[in-house]
Amino acid sequence: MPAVRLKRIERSLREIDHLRRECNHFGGAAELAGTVSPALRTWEGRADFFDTISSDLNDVSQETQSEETAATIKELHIEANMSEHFLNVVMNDKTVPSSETNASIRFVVENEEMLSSPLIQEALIDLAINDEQPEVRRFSWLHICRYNSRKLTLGDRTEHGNDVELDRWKTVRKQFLRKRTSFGPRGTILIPATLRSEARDLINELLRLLARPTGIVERTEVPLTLGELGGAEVALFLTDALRCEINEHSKDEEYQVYLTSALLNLGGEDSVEALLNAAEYASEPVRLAALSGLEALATSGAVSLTEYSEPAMIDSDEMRDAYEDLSNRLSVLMAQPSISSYVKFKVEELLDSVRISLSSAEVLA
Amino acid sequence: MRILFIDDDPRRMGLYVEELVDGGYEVVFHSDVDAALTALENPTEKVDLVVLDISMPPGAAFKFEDTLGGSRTGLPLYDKIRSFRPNVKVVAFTNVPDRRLAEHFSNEDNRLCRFVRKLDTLPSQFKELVDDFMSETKL
Repeated sequence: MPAVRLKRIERSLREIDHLRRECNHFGGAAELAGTVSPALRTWEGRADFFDTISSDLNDVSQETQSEETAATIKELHIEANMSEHFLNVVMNDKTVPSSETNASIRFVVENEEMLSSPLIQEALIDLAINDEQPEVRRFSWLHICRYNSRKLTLGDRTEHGNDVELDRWKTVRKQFLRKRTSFGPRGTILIPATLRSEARDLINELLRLLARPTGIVERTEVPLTLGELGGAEVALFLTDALRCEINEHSKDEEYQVYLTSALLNLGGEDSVEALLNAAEYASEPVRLAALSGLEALATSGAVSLTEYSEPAMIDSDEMRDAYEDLSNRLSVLMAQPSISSYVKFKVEELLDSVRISLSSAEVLA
Repeated sequence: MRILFIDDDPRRMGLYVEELVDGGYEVVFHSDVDAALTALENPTEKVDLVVLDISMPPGAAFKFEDTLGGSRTGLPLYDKIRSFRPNVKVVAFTNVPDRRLAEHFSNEDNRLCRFVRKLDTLPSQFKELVDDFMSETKL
């Protein structure tokens, strides 16, 4: 009978919802995994469970004429969808196909209530750092950054922090700095820095801190240290953080400046793109920091405030293309009516430097 | 009638596809944006209706940043569909609750485009919706 079937479905979904609320705190995912029924602990079990519900609801909808029942069916359909996607994200068992994980993340991040829950936030951070698929990692990270940029006001982001933690990360950064054979950016305008594989655990720890940029440590020392330890994927994570801050009109200029400092150190095409984006769209202090970053990368570390920049060595067609692209983008930026005269002056300086490098390359070729 | 169903979630859409097939439609399912575009670009490939998800991986055709990491891949994909097949009917079928998205598709020619939320629509209801849409006078 339809009513009995609907009651059964409703009861099952209410149990899941009850668990979701009970475990909705940081550290709650482990509790949920231990408490939820065994059938729901694996992806296959959940798929069967929710497919059966979907099929039953569809059958009942075809058997009934009652508007009240139709409304109940619709509500249960919505609730079943939400429960399934929620469990896929939070349970994060290794058997979930990446397409399923992606579909569930996509669902969850569009639901404001779910996205702001500590349980989901924690699950997304875990996915961003630990999932085997790069696209799942990046997608989870992007939505963490979007959420932070939209929801964390300046009031939520403090100047306070743990001095011990601050010193710890400064020490780590300096240790790795001493291992270098040269100063200046670790990457180039074209090629990002190489990941320091011996620091993988430290990088994961830093990314967890960066996922919640509320204190002074997370907003300043963490990006700098990531810039010293990370490689191409860390650069992508930092570009996403910076892009979200700018796109969502976050007022945290200090954090954005530290992100640009990290990106100038990491280098590579993605970092350059993010710095150009910041130069174009961010507030003035961040624009200037981004231009400094581009200058450091374009001149392999020589800064025109302290010395006359030497032309960069352009030794390949790909490098020449990268410099020409940079030159074109800077020319477009110069023409923007909204930039201040000081920013325009700095863009002009950088453009001259890039053009000198290109001309020198032509002479040598 | 032939339907091109583009969605990155074949498992959940399976029931919807079944209802359409049982209802007499021929359904070609693409979970990959690039494969779907190749099919649409091919003028010999008959397509009467496109069912289009919004939130799916951007593939090689679109940039991660331009599609918000895949959250809005359906938007540039819709533009491409219109450029290859200006008169094909399209149902944008999504869970994304963004009001602006609904407005965007509602502003399109109603004879050619509908916006339907997955959460609100059971498979049997979706099939009825498609029946009504397809039975409306062609351009």
